[in-house]
Amino acid sequence: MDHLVTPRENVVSTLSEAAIELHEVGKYYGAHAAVDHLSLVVSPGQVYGFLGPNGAGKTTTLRMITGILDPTEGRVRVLGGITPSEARARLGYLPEEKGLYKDMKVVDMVAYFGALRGLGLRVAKARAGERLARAGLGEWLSARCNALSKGMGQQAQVIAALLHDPELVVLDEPFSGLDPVNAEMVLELIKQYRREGRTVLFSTHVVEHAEQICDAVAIIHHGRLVVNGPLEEVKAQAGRSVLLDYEGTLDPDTLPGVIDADDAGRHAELRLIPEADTQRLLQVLTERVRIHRFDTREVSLKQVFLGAVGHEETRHAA
Amino acid sequence: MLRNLLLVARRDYIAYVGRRRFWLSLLLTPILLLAFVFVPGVLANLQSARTYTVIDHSGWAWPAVARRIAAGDYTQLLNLAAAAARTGTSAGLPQPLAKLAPAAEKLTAPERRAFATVLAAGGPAPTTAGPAADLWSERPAFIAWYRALTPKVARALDRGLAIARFRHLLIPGKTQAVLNKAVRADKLFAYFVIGAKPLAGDTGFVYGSRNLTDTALRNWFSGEVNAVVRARKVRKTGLPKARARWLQTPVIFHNRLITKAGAKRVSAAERAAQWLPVGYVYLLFISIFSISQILMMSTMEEKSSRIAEVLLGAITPGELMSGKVLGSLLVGLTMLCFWVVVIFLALGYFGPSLGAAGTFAKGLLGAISPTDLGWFFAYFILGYLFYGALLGAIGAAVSTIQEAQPYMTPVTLLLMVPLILMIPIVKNPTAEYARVLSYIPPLTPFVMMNRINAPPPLVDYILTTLLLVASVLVLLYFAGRIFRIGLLNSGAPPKLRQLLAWLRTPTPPRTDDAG
Repeated sequence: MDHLVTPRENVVSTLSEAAIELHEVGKYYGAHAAVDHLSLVVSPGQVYGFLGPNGAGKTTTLRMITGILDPTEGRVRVLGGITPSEARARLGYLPEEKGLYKDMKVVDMVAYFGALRGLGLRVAKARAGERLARAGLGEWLSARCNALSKGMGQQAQVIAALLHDPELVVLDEPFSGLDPVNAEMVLELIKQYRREGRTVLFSTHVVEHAEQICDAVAIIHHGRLVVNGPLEEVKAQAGRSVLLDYEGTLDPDTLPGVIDADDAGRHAELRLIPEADTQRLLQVLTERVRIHRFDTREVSLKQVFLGAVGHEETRHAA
Repeated sequence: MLRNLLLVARRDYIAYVGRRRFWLSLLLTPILLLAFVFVPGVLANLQSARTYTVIDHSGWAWPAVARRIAAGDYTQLLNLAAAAARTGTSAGLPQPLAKLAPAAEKLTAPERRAFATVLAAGGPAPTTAGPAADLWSERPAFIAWYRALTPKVARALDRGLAIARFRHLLIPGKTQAVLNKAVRADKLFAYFVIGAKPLAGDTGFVYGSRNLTDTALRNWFSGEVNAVVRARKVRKTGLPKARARWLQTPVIFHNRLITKAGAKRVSAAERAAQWLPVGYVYLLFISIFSISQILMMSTMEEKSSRIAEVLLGAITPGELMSGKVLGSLLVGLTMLCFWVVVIFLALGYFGPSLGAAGTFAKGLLGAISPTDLGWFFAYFILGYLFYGALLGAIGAAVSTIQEAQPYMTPVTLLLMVPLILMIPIVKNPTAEYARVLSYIPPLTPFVMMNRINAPPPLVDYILTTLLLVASVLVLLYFAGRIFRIGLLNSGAPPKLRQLLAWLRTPTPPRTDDAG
């Protein structure tokens, strides 16, 4: 995905402070708190995963970070302490639902979005043509956007949103609705940004993607931050888990040392308490089911997510 | 700020003006406008002469009427021949008429009318040599030619000739039953029955036709019959001819247009120009309504296709809205300039060949003053900003045209008011109600342009414009609030109560701490 961006070796050196800093941020719609006293710091050059179930407040938070929405309370700063509106030309945003001007030429549309982010029209048009061509859309430059296939349209949208080579990239559910080829393209793009020292914050509810590429993650639920930190630390703090392939009836709630389980019927991930005795657990399991695999490892991000969201759900209900 | 605004305006402008269908729709409007002016005349030319016949129970009225009709046409033809002789164009006339031209020119207009009456009556022939005798010598060829004239040829000579518009048919054994059958079979347009005693207040006069809405034939013929009957009544009183003519001479009021420069004679073109405000109001209506809708549709498209969120990530809602308003305004100005050019070119090219309709339209255009044009464009801009703010806000609040419909209806009804008032105000521009209506901001642009025949006082211009500008600013402010919230609002369209809540939502500072 080298064709989607221009390397910027000096990105890290220009950012001495936080790439994103949220301080006690809240967004309220009447009595409903979409985001509730959220504080978060994202360091420059990090790939940060912003996780949460549907309706958790992810999009609202991203919209505040990009200056589309104003917080009801709290403070939002980006790129070393400036406001999002001051940082527009250095900030790239790809919303979850991406649209195209159907009647516009592909190259003109991409250039238009680049120009709105501060590029000169000529520069934007030249860069748009070059990047579209490198992405394999060279024959479609003068075609109307409604002539593009869905996948090509998605490619054009990503190129348009990031044409100005932003220092801070905010992606809202970037994998949503993408076919595997385009999902891979976005993954590669995020990795490339990391290599170039840019900061990437993306929201997703597909935790596997986050686990694959994130340096750090934050999980929010009901607008509140429930987990936050470097990925390895988050997983380490969550303890160990056992990956189990089995036949029979598991009944995980009665297993010793197991906090919770993600049981798919023939495969399960059992999250353990820190002092759990895995030998004792294995013994109980062999009495109960036929075991094909028993692997002890640190918990997956999915388990962290389910644990955090489930725990918060219980707390919220109480 | 300004750069982004201009970028949005540029995109929206090119998105509309760059489409082929935009120019096609632009062409259609002046074509429709020109059609309104010219089609009635063209249709009148295409219409075949109305055919009629007469049952005369009086025994004397119809022959007298027929002579009067013929005398009228002969007079017009002699006048035509005389005018052609004067301008040296008589060679272009049909030969029997061309032969009359030199002699006709030597007679005065009353002499030609008198000679035509004698000609229609069949005599007496002039007794002394001179132009009348010369004309008389051509009588057999001329009358044979006249009787053989087709309506089409007659219309080409002079549309005012009776024979060009109405044609008497001789129908054998014409009882009313026979004529009813002929009318039903479309062999006859209408018939007239003249009562036995026209001088004694006979009520047995009948006009029979399948078409009672086209009154041209009925009005013309009853005018001719009344003239004949009135003349006979006068004769019966024994009054001398000169006194009878004096008694029947009507008074005629000559139009004088009172302007700042004083009273002046009014030409046909200037009379037509009195309808200019209708043209202004109509153009304002079409242009304001179309481009406000363009603004609404493009906003709705950006919202429903989720482009709005990408845009709002890059620029502020204020920049987006201002850019879109400016883009549509430029589309509207392009539209108006195009129409003005096309109408002027079309009239310059086709006008001379369109007779009275061409004169009418040229009169309209000739009366356009730079000041009025200036006000027209100013009112266009202010009117557009008013309605554009309303429709733009609606476009931001909803995602589909169906969702927009309930909000559109009151705006459309409001825009219909100037159309309904257009004719009454142009006929009475100084009416108190017209003045009052011009102070209602949504109506100001239309009513003020509607009143220009009797130019409103300066104070009206100043106060109504100030009121309109203030309303536009308030509307744009509130439209901005709806725009800011509505564009990101997905799901069900907002109810009126929710829209009002959006209006009350204060705009938080964008660049500083919120709490």
